[in-house]
Amino acid sequence: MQAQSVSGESTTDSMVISARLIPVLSPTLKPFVLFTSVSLSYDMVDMVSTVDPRFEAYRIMNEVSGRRVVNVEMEPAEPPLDRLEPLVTVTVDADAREALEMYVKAAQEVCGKGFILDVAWTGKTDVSTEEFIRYVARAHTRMGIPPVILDVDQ
Amino acid sequence: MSLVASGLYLDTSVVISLIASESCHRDVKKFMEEAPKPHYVSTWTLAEALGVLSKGIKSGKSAPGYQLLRKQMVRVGSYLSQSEEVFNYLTERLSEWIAINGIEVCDDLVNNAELKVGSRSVKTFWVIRNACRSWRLGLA
Repeated sequence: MQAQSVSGESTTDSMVISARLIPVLSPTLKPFVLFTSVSLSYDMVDMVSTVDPRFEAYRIMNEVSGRRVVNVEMEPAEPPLDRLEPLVTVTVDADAREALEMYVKAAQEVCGKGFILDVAWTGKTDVSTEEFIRYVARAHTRMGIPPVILDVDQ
Repeated sequence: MSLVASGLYLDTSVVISLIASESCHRDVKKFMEEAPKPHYVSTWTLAEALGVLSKGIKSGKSAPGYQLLRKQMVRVGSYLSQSEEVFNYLTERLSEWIAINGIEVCDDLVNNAELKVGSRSVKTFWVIRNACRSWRLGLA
């Protein structure tokens, strides 16, 4: 089976295999809708674990976005974010404002799941810097990320 | 004689402890649910919390939220001064925290003592927020 990814690459057999795993992990998802148009850059073997942050981030953002997730990437967080790692970036097929609204909605569900959610978008950046900060601040609050770590006596 | 609390006023140290808590927001929410309701916070307290949190970030303390914001801002490609970034970030975080926890804000009388956020003297949380918005829009 072959399909075209968002980056123009052809999908491979590994994606077909991973798509077959998805119903086991989450019967509510439609795997072929996801993977026929998605280029995933991570090792699919890890997807077998139901606690994999990438899969959980995908599930949450896919629900919120109406199945518009096009990529999921995970990286270890650097200090001081390593207290809350890892950082999972989900790219959605939307402009910035819409993606950030999805991000705020998804953030509440991410709290306590053991990873930090970030969002990227494929469309235009249609928010000002101030608006961007406001959206991100709301999402951080909902995820329970402390803005700063202060000493107890402050 | 029994003493019945009609609500809980959150002071600055409590606000800061809850917002800057490393525990999950749900744990904080549980604490808030168990404490006597309604919960009140004064504008003065919010201004003071804003000042302390701002000072903490600017003094180089470990700041997971702010560092993540800086990382994420690469996507919009434009930056503000650190003061504006910190101010916008923290005011929105305080506003969101108030909203999701159902806390009532009291417009109390403002203490004459000086509070500062960066180089700015702060009278109330809302006044400085509105003033900055007006300044950005060229209205001030």
